[in-house]
Amino acid sequence: MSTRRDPEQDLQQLLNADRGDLGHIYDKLARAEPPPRLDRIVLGEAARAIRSQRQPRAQRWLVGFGSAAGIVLAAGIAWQVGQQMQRQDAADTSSDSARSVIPVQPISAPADVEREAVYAQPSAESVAAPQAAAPAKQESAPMRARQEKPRPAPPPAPPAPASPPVPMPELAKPKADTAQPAAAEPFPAAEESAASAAGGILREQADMAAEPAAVVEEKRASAAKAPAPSASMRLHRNIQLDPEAWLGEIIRLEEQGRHQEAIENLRLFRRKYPDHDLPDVLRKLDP
Amino acid sequence: MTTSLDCLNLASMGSERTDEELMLAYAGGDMIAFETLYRRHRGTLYRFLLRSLRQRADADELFQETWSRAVAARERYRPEAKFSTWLLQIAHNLVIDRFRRSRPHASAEETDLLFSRLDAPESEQPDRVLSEFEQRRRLQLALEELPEEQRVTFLLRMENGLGLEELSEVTGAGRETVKSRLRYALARVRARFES
Repeated sequence: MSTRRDPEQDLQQLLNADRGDLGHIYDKLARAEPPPRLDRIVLGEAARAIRSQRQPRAQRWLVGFGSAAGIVLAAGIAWQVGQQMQRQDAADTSSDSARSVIPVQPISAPADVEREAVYAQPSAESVAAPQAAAPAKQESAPMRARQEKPRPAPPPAPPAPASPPVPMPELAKPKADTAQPAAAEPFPAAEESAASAAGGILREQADMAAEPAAVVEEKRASAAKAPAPSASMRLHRNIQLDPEAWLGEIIRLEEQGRHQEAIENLRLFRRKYPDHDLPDVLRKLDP
Repeated sequence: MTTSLDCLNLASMGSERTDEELMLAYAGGDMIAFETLYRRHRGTLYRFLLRSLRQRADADELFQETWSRAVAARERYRPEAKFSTWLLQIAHNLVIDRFRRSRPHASAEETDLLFSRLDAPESEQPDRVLSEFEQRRRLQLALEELPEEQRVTFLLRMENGLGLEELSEVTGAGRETVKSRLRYALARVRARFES
């Protein structure tokens, strides 16, 4: 009798869950394992792959962050520039009032005369500017500049001072100390003798504002040697007069030989009342 | 001795995530998932390679290469494919490539001769009870002597427990071809046992 193995039956046994008798023997074979070296290599490679996968993501994030930071930076710069321009505009619009502040700088007080000149000048300017601009107080600085065109081009206003503008009461105080007594005294002789020289003070002070501090100081020192000029105070007072009275005052100045002072008065008069007719005697003085 | 990998494995086994979930988690950057997956399949894959190639150095090389390819292809992996089948497919392709480069296939004549011997009358067959050690030795020898494709198919069944469909998927051969290979392999092993 021959017990031949049926290949199909043998195969079926092999495909059973227990894989037949050969399966039992196979399970008893040595169960080789990969060496630890291979474990380290494979796990290391898998970890590196994950790290390299994360890295580009981080780089993409960095690129995004960098772009956003750039935009924010650009916006910040634009905003700063805008603010700066606004401040500049504000400085320009307040340049007239600032002019009244600029001379109020630390004064070494070499002489009362100098102090008077310094405080007197802004008064004149502040008189000139608000009076001239009185009809249109809300006008902007460019408009104001246009109005002032006929006048000899003044030097550009100095940049706004780093320190906040000195409040007006501060100005008023020294005025009370120095200018008030002078104003109380009606045209002392000494002042009148210096009137012609004082006529150019306005221009000089405006120039000083644009000049380097050393030059300004030098000019102040030389001005200190001159008699106390109070022509500007008179000019300030004259501006308050009605047109006819002011013209009468100008004629009187001219008759008194105070030619320069008369010209200064006339100039301001023409600025304030450009359409007002001038008497013949003053037309020849009109610049 | 318990290694850190064992501890890690024990800790993560509790989660009972499927191979496919683990592979997807690894593709998403979860290294722990890969370690669990690796622990589950490292032994069976290594033994399949070692018994297919018979050279430890070759087995080591292809073991590393198989995992390397799995890692590289992690983002292309789709859970529709069973992970073990996918991994063994990679390994099988590497093994076949290695066979093709090393030596020619066993001839069909040899296989036919084996079948004729199996068909011999029982009286002509050795009637001996082999010791357990001898059984293992003979199975080992039989596996080594099997033609490559038969050996690989037989090992995928014995070591990895793949069914006919999975064998067909991994080897890329038709179902009947797979059955045929298994039949021939069985015949050769029996012949070794009964010689």
